Amino acid sequence: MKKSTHIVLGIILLHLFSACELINQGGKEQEEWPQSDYPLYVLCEGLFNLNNGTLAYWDGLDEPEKDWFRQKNGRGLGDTPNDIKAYGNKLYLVINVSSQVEVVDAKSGKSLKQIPLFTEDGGGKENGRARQPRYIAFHQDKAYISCYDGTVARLDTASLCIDGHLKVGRHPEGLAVAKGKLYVANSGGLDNPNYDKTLSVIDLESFTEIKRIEVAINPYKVYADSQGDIYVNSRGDYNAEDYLLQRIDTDADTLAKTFHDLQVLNFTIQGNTAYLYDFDFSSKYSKIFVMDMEKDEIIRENFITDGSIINTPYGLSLNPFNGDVFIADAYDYLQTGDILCFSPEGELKYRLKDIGLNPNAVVVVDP
Amino acid sequence: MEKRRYIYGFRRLLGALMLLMPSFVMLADTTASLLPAEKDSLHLHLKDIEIVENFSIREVRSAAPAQRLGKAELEALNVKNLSDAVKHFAGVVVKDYGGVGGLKTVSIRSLGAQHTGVSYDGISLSDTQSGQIDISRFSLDNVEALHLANGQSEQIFCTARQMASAGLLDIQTKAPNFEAGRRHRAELSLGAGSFGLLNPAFRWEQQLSERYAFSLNGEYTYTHGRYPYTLAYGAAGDSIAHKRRSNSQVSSGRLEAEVYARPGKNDEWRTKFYYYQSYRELPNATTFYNDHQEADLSDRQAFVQSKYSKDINETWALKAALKYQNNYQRYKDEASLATELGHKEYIYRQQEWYGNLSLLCRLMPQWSIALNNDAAINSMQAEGLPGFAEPVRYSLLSAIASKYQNNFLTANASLLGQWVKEKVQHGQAAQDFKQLSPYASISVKPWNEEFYLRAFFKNSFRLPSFNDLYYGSVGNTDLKPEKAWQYNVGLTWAKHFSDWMPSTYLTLDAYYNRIEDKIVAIPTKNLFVWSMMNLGRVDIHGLDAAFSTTFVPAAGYRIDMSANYTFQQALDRTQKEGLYGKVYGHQIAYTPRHSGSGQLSLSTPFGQLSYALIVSGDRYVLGQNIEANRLEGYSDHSISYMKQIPWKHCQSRLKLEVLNLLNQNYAVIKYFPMPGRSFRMSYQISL
Repeated sequence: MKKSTHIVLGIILLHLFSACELINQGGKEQEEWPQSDYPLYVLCEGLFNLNNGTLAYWDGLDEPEKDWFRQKNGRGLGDTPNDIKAYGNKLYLVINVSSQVEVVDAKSGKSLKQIPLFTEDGGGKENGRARQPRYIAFHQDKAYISCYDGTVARLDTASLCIDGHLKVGRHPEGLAVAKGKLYVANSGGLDNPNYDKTLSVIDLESFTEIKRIEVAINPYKVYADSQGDIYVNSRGDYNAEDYLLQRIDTDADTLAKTFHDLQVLNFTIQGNTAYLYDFDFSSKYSKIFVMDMEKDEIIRENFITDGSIINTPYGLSLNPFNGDVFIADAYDYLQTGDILCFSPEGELKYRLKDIGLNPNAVVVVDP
Repeated sequence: MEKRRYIYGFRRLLGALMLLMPSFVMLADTTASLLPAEKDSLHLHLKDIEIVENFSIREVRSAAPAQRLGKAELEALNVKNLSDAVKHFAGVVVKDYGGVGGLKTVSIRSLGAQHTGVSYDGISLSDTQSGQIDISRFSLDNVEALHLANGQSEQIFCTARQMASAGLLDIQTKAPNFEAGRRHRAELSLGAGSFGLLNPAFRWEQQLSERYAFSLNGEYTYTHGRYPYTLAYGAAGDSIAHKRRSNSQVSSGRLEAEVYARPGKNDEWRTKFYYYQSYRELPNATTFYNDHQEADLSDRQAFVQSKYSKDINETWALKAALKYQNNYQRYKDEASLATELGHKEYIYRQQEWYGNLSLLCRLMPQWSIALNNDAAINSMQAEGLPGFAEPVRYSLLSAIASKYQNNFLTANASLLGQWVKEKVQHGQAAQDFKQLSPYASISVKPWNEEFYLRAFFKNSFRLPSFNDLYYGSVGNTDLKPEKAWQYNVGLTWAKHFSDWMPSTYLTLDAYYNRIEDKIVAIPTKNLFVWSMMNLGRVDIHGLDAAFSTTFVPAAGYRIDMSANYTFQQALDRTQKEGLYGKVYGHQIAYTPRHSGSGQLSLSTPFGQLSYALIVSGDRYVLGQNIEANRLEGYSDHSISYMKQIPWKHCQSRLKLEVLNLLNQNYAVIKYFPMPGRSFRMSYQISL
């Protein structure tokens, strides 16, 4: 009895020692970095409640500075940065849960101003309630920021001060300007399954809402093409068959067309070319395709031509200067994601591995 | 034969006394007893078997690791909440979201909180909604002892549910205890401390007749919880801010009444009424640049449980229990942007009907067999969740267990069967679950010395909770149970060196655990819509070491020292390549490789001085072991001074405590800061 117990003990201890060798094997970094002929910025959302959103900067040559904003400012971006746009020589970052807009000098990475977005009334508690900004769009000397509290905030880009709030529908997401009007997608997404299904049309001269256009439930991103048409995708109740793309006639401000045969979870438009993708969360099936918005037709059924695999597409960005396409792969949202850069022909140029947690956008500034 | 029975009986008596006392047997101290009348007969027989030498400690003798904190140890730990006491057990991680009101759950040996059973006076607590017990609501005010068993308890004569989990925390409450010649006893206490802490409590015990006694106790706790903390906006050298926790007020009350009866010579009957109510503001994770929060949680929990046990004859014994429990929980968030009104409210109700019938057969003096049967009906309703399934779970559990014990060998084996069926009002019900859980343990004493070799094996599982199965789009009715395998080997040793060093013991256990079909939340529709899936495997290698010794340098002086150390390597083994490849071979989140605790207490005629320490190594907040996810380790030191002050003919006691002495700014869960240095004072008087 005694002997056998010793043997068992020995086996377990052996097991332990062999296990020890495995310690610290994780967290291997990419050793060789690719090269690129232009610098870029990558926004990573991090994860809710972890204050670990990051802005990475890559000069195209050396190792990317993954936590660039924090290194330059001595503080983190906060909880869930959701959108980034370059305007002039500044970057505008929209931090959703921290409820801030961060205006950053694109060269130095220094924050020029941190703009809080809170209500006046705190319901009897300390501080006002968070407005939770989501997306930003620009027109002339103003920036417009959709906020989950059902408003659009207007920011003066010269003084960097908020100079107005306008009430729109529930939980507005994407927004875009066409023909002097701002189109805001009212998703109602936080009140699932009671989604909103409207697009607010805002006259920018008077900063008033002039109309709401009914679209399919849970509208999400809004983009304009170079003819001044507005496109919006609706995500329904997040079943792949619900994802829709719709076109808005911006003269009559009516729904002009619903692309029933396309499943569009996310998209972006540059000029008259749209890059769109469909992704089924349960089967992990994804497809990225390209459309000509003027002709209303798909010009490439499969954008990726070299067989590169995207596990979980999480963001789609373009380099407006050379047409490169960036796709963010978020894996399971709990592991650091990658940025894949494709040529306009759909061939993988390089991969920025482990750039940050939940990368969602790449920005390239005017060289 | 007569003599043999006497010896057997005497040994069992010793065994029974072991249960009622601190770890070390001191036969002179026999005050902790139930009713004075015929006290032996009951405690004598209702054990399965308990053969105990003159010098033996349960922790050492037990075939599966068992740890115990008795009243004296608990007092020396400088803890008020049960969760803080549990942190002193080896191999345990308490997920503590900070403050009095923060969620606190216990995970044993990296298996996850849902594999830990928690029982209150031998009857399991259940929360079918979340599948885990929030132990933040239990204070130590009414607690006689805490037991933590890996695998399962040494007692085979128990409920089937107590055998169903991978580990068991049993909370044993105080029983009436009358001094000779008195028929009642009263205790009043008042505690106060930092952050507006106020904690009055009372206890009344009354002997009603020779065969009946009654106790009533209650407490109230209030704290505004606005403790200061330092928020770091980045890494070392980056900006920091000195802030105060907000939205963290807690007020809670508990009332408990119990009737103890001994209707006949060989039976016992206890009926307990329990009511708990709390209002807690819910401090969220500290969010950079956004301090606003308004969410709160109201709880009402009531149960009545009745336990009956009877020694039918020398061979047979019987136990039965019935319980009804009703839970109400309301979550409210006025600042929620989710609805048009800016007001989000959910109400969850849970009910449980539970019954147990156990039969014990003492085949031989050394060999017993028990058959434990449980049945339960759990139901849940929700307001604010349109189309909620309103599930009802019917469970049947049956376990057959055998225990053999002589002076050199203890061997336990059991097999538990569980059948679960669910019905729902809306949508689809979960599949039926049928599971078998085998368990075996052995302890051998090779020489005539208090040195034991031990080993245990257990295969258990946890069922998906109602949240896992039915919560909105998160729930997944196709879930299978999550399986846990445990293998443990260890050695234990105890020695009585001399009168001034009466007891020293050491236990050392190495273990290998495995979790398969781990139930995890992953986004299935988009990042905002997560669903539960059976995905993932975790391999756990670990080592627990515990040491304890006592010195008695002179009469009236006593030094108690104990320490434990835990090594845990809990590695993700889900997928070597592909989607989950970046975390393969990495330590799972919130599991320190190294952790430990230590206690030192000095008892003198001038009072008792105690020091307690908890240490944890670095952890990772997510499964990927990279610098960005690393959360630094911490240590938490506390000291206390306690003095008995006789006042007229009453006993009274004053206790002063300094918690987190070094004012370490740390978090167990990232961005849920723990309080810094704080003070507590309490005064208790027994009438």
